[in-house]
Amino acid sequence: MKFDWRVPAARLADLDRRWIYLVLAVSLIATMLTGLRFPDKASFLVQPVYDHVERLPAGAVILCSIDYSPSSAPEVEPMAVAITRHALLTGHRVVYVSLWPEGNSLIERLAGMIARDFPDADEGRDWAALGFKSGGEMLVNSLRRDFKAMYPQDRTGAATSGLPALAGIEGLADFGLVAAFSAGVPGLREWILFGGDVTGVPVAGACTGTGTPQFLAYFPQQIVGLIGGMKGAAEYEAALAEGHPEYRQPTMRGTDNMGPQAVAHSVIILFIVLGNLGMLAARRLGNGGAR
Amino acid sequence: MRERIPRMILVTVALLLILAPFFRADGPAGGVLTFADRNFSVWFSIMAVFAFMLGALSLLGVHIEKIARRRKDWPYSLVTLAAFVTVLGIGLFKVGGAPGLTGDFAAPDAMFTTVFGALYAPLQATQFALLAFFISSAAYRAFRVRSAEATVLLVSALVILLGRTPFGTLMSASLPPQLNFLRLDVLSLWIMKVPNTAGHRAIMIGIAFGVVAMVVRLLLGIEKGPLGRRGTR
Repeated sequence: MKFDWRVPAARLADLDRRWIYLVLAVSLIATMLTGLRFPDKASFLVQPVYDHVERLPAGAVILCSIDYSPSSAPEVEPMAVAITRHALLTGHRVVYVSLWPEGNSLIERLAGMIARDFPDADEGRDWAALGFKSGGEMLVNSLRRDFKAMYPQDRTGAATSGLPALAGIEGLADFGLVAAFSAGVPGLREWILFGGDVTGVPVAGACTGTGTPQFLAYFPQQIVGLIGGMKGAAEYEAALAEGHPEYRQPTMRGTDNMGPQAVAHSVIILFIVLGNLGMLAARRLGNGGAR
Repeated sequence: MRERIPRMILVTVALLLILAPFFRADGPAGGVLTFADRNFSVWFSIMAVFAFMLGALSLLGVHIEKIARRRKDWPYSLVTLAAFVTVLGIGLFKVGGAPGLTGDFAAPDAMFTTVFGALYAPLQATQFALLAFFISSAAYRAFRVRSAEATVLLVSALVILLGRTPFGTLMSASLPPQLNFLRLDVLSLWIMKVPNTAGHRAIMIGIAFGVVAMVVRLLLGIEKGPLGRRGTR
């Protein structure tokens, strides 16, 4: 009996999903174990954020809004870490707020990073954590005129009116940059529409990969730049490693996680191609192609 | 009267908030408008806190009723209630951390931080990570060359998937400079920035017009849903 290649090929059109899960899991685990890393370079979306932080006068205050939850933290947290590190390396002050209830605990993780990697940075002088407040867009609206009225105390209970980290800050417009680390609503959109557009304060976006396409519409008029997904985090880390070689020493989570993500994307592409080959083979066999 | 008073409040608040950004604080109408702009937002933020309480009460009501009536899957409601009460108690009373209601529930030594870091964060991350597997399976089945539209979708997806990884950059790095626009990373950014942005802007502008129309209907009293009445006049 003559071998017909189309018969085994047609099977590829309807693979059991468990094969896909298995191949993906093995690829991801192998990549994580080998620590595969790829060189990256800041794109035209990420580079402006880096340049803006670089150009800020020393001592400028960067407002970081931690608007994500643990589910999206693996993607967005590396961006928050990178911008915090960049700000502290270049002598800027960092102030954390959050529009999400989970924000306090996630800010605590960033505080742990600062304590570990920047032992000379003083809470209250070089950085401050003001935490979560409810209200979403209306909170952002009320920060425009009187920032400290909405945040009378920081997380330690110290009055914000006397905090050196907030010296010179009256309203939102006094910040050198608002960096919104966003994984949903409320988040980057609220900071753009109710903060940046109204006061003119520069807003930088940092969002999940799936959120990137919707925020591109605001670039470049309404946001300085956009750090999108793990790739964006890796690009920012690459820019930082190039501009500040001392940054290379600690962990670069965005870059580290891009290896597994790149392999996962490749596995998905492989299965898409196999599925289409299988469908074409099934068509040639005359059964119309399995779904 | 039950309808007029809420509508008067709505119209007053809306007009003051709409007008406030257009007037200087030290101008003739600035005092009232600045007061409204500053305080209405703060009052909203305070009211939003009560929404959390309403949400908690609603959650308690739904699950207590489910347990009391032994509805389907009621043991899960028991787990939900137990988790809710435990985490609320840990957070309110700062168990293991600074005592008293004024302390920081998210302090490093507080039990809330342990619950967050050891339970909540890994559970959420696990759930989210599982999406990668479902998306792989869905992409394998959905992206098929069945029609011209499906082919465009497939090619765009492949370019974006490859272009957003270092593989895409490496694969097309050897292209000559005059063919730079064909590099996968450049092409993927172009797809996201041009056709995708055009589509998104159109949707956003459409939504914005819809919101403006809705506000006008509310102000004119045509739309009564938010005031407790169903339907329109």
